[in-house]
Amino acid sequence: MAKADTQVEKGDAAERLLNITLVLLASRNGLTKTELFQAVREYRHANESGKSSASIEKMFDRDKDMLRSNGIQLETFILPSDGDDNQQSRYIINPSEFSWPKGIKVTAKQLQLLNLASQVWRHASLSSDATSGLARLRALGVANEQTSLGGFAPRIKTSENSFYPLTNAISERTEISFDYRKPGQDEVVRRTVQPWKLRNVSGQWLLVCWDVTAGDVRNFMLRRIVGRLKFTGNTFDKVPDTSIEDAVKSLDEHIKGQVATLSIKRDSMAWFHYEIRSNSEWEEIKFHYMDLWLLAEELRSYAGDFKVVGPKELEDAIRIGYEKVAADHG
Amino acid sequence: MAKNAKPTSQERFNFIASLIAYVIHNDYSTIKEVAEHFEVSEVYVREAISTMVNTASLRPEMEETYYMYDEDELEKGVIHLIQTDGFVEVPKLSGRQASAIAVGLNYLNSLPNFTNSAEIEELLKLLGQGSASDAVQIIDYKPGTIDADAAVIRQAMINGNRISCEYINQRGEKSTREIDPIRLDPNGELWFLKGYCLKNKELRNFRLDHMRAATELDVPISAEAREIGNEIEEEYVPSETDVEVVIEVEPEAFGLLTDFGAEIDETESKTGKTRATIKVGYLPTLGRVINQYGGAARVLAPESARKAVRNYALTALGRPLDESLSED
Repeated sequence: MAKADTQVEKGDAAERLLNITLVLLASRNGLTKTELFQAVREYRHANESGKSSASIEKMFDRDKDMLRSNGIQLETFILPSDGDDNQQSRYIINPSEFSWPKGIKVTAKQLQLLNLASQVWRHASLSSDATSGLARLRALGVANEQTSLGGFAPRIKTSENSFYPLTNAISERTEISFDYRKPGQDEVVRRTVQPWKLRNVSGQWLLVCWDVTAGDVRNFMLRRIVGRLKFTGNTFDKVPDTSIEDAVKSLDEHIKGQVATLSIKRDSMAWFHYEIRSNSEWEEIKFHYMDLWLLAEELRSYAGDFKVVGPKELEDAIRIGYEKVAADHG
Repeated sequence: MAKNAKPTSQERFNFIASLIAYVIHNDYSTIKEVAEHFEVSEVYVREAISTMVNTASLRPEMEETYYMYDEDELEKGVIHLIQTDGFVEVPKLSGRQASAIAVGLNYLNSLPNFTNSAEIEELLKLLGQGSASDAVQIIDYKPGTIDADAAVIRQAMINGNRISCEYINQRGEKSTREIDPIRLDPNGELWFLKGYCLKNKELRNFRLDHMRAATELDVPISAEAREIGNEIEEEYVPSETDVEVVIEVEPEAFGLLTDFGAEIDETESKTGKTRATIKVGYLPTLGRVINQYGGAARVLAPESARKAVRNYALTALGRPLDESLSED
């Protein structure tokens, strides 16, 4: 039979997190901070070895954050008998919030799909979130029989540095500010927003948010965020799903209102790209687009393969880009 | 846990918490089976079990352990718990974990000939049941149009058959080719096919948006293709003839760094402006790509690469080309 090793292994955060979880799940009335610091071996050891209470508190704050980002919420409450004494604030983990409902199983086929779904992230931190989630789903699985979903290596692209910090800001509901560069302009404008959701529309990552400065819902393109995000220190309330849906709808409406018309040269790269089936030497196509500057960007890689029929601004945007490149490389 | 990377404390904690529920519900599993199930090493499983039994409450003045295993069984490599006073069910997923997987599922759902939506719907519902109450769907991925050829290629791969298609290469040359498809790599909006090209007799990467009229042939893929298919892992194999190009990009053109697997040399923290080195096989392609970004990306060196970029822009603008001989 294995016995608990009373020797303190220095700084094993994994063990500490497990210890806090187990202690708080087991306590019916929760524990005060003092009691918790007694019960968890590493806190107790730190205390006994003369560490300042400030440094232990700091460790506890970090641990709370880590647990929260692992989906484990520490709730606090004060026993009625303790009145409104903040010192007597008690910590607890609600068992019904903690674990999956009983009896859920994941089949081998489902696990394989989940496995592939968790591999789409290139970004290390997102990949870590997905893989950690997958471990929990695997724990619900019964066996590991192999069925083949091979020949596929799907990846979602996230090149923008702001992507991961934004997912944090969204899940923590913290207000942020950043410098944003509108297309065709050199200078940046500082924006302060409450981030709601990240959306990928036609390959572009957009931040759907409440623009505090403008007092309205806005979509910002992640690639146009310059430099780092700054946290303002303010938090905001959960946004109703309908507000987010409205923001999505309004972007869809905007896209429907924008039409580009191009004439494409036969058997060119653009002809292949737009999958044109026709016998004409030049074929006219019409389509909706989200952003004129993005469309100009896509089209600049097909120089000579197309002519812009409209709008005029598209033609201008394409030309301005070429002129900048020519000047930069002159 | 990311492959080849040392797991973080949080990843280890997450694994131990998952492992506890698993070994309770799958009594007498062997360490080997558990390692295979979670796709981790046996050493990692042993360490997790040791942390699990070492964790104890020191309150009140006596010690109380939560889990204990049968030592005799463990010596034989079998996990059998004889005391389970802690939690026994799998912890719910955090909002971030659920979201990262849900986005992946939605993405898979959009791939042709891959899965049926009912299966995915069911899994999304399952994720909803098993994630923390504060979970917010933080990411939403809905791909645009998927290339028509992708469905044909996927079907051919399932059947192990060759395809034929029309293809336009980077030089703008059009040809009809036969390809033994090996792997389909959807990368965001851009799809690539890794396949054995019968014309060049080697492994090539094909962009699906430069392909059309893909047809499945009633011919099984070659032995060579099968062999290569078992070996390929790496994303990009640089060739010896590749040119090293130093570029400077604004945040608007960071996509370029990912696409070329760039080595970052320097980033200005305030402006995000980044200097990097990329390897390029065919310089006119670089001209095309740099021009695409319309000023957000610049080539610093060598001069031959700058010239390729300049000439692409000049051609596009209908101006006379720079015909000077490059010094490189």
